[in-house]
Amino acid sequence: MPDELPEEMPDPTDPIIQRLQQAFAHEEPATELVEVRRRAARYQPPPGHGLTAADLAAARRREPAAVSRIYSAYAPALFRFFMAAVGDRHQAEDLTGTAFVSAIEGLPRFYGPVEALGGWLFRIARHDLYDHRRRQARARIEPLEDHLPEAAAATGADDPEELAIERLDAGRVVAALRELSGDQREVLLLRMAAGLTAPEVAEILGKTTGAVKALQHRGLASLARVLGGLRSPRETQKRPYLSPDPARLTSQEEEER
Amino acid sequence: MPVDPLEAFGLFYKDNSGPVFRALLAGTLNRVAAEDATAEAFARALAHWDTIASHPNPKAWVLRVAWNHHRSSWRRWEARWSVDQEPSPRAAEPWVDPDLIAAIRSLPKGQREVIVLIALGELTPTEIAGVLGRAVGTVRSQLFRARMALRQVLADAPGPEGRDA
Repeated sequence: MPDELPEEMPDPTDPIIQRLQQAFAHEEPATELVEVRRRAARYQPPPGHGLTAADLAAARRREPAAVSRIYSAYAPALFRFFMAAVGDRHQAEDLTGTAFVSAIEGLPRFYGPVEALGGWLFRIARHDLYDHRRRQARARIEPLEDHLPEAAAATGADDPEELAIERLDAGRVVAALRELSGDQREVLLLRMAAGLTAPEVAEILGKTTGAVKALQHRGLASLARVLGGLRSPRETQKRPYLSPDPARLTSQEEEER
Repeated sequence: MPVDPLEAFGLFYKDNSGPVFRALLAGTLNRVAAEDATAEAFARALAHWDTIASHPNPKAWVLRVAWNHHRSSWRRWEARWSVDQEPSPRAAEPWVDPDLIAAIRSLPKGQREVIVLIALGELTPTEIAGVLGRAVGTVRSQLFRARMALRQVLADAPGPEGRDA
């Protein structure tokens, strides 16, 4: 490094240093670049979705191009989050739009770096979701469970980490989600449907990353347990009340008639 | 300077994976562990390349990640295998300079880390202080003591060339 002070560099004439360097001179890592790339793919894309600090500054000034970049970066995840939570496409679209508008309006009050934008957006989304549920409860609209099969279609749709979940059919996942505690369900929704990282979820929920990972772990374990109980189709028929698929229930009832 | 980030990372890997691997290998004396920690650290650098690319010292960043990865994964490893169960990959290594390896092994861990990061990681004491989370003064004194100890141990063993003759 040419900009370092000379006295900081190891003395190249030191026989100890020389001997160490000679002893290891021919050692090279066997790992190919391809393997490093494969390992890197295990990590979720870096938070921020390629947005820059300049995008954030421009969006604060409501410059349309920057606002639309932020929208394209986060709208899909926001929509998946709302869809998984409320299970209705129109409501999810409305909620996504509302959350995004309040985010853009609140952006001048967001002082964090661009990497923290996702977490901040989902805090807003979560508040909006609670408001929505309170309104729904007051209006006595159809219970959430009626929409759950549709909701599950959104869950696990874009999740690189839990491939197993992706392969499960939507109805089963929903039935299993119902078995979880509120905390576990919320963590799984944010981790999988919204695709946030564990530290981001921790920040949104005001928990430690460790707590989020533990909830995710227990939630996935419960999911696996419930889904395991549903694995064999014969067993599912024996216990039709466990089957979450209304279509299947109907056809079974028709067969019995 | 290439514009394509993957190409830029490829060059970074080509230039720096050797020093990082050699420092890990000399520090751990365990090829499997050094290979794993190096690959893991570069993979994380690639995953966060948009920020690492503009980091003032990406090699020091990678070394820090590799070192920490090794520390934590080694702790898990040690918890699983008791000392006598350990399938000793160290003994099987055909080292070029066994006297030097024995001398490195005889150093206290802190001194060993510092001397290999200087000689093989090609870092300065200031950078090493950042990598290991120690004060620069500590690093300097550990470096001094490591040199003294190695000098003493190796005085009787002048090097592989001398012994082969």
